Amino acid sequence: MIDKQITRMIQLSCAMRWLCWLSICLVALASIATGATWFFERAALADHYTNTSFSAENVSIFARATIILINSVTVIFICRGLAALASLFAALQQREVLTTHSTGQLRLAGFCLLFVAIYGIAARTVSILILTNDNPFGERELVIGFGTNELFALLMAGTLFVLGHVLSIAASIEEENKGFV
Amino acid sequence: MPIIVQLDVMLAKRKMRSKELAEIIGITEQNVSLLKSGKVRGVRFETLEKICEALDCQPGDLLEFTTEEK
Repeated sequence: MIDKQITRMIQLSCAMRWLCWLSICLVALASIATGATWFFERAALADHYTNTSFSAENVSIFARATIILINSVTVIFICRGLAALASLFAALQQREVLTTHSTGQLRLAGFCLLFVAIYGIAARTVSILILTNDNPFGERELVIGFGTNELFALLMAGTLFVLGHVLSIAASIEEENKGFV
Repeated sequence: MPIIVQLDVMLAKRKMRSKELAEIIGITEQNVSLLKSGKVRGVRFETLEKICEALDCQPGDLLEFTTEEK
């Protein structure tokens, strides 16, 4: 029974690992494409920030580069989190269920996603502030958005981080117990 | 380490092999070897009880405390 479950876990981990690497590639490619579009086509920025009142023609090259840089931090952390998950699934494939390495990877993935969930809110606020910076006085915007999407992202990322942390503690206890005869 | 495991001494006194002891107390021979060399973090009371039963001795006969000289 346990062997069957382990075999299933290995098969699932193999699929999940490839899915993680595929996601990393897709996220990276999509981000590069979006970044390039934002940099070379000013109208694309206006399409993305639809509810913000700014003239796409007036957005400077510095502003566009800063917005791309701010958003690239999110992409880096998403990719790092996915890489940690891929490493976790690789460890599970090697039957490392409760080791300091595998649980550490889960905690790292949780931390990265938690960072993205918090940083995402701030990044949008700062991006809109930069975009509307050239507007006349009284038309500059400071927008802080917090909806159900952000709430659930925070909840999921927080849960993943806490679970990873708890399992890390469990793994260190398990490691210590191995030294007892 | 200031705690010295005297299991090898007791085994010699009782003329018992490590393999035999491992079979009686239900742990692997490798673990008995680790215990003999003192390369373990600790011993469970359960294991200690079984060893004492198998070797007919007291825990004090198996463990010795010595002060380390620096």
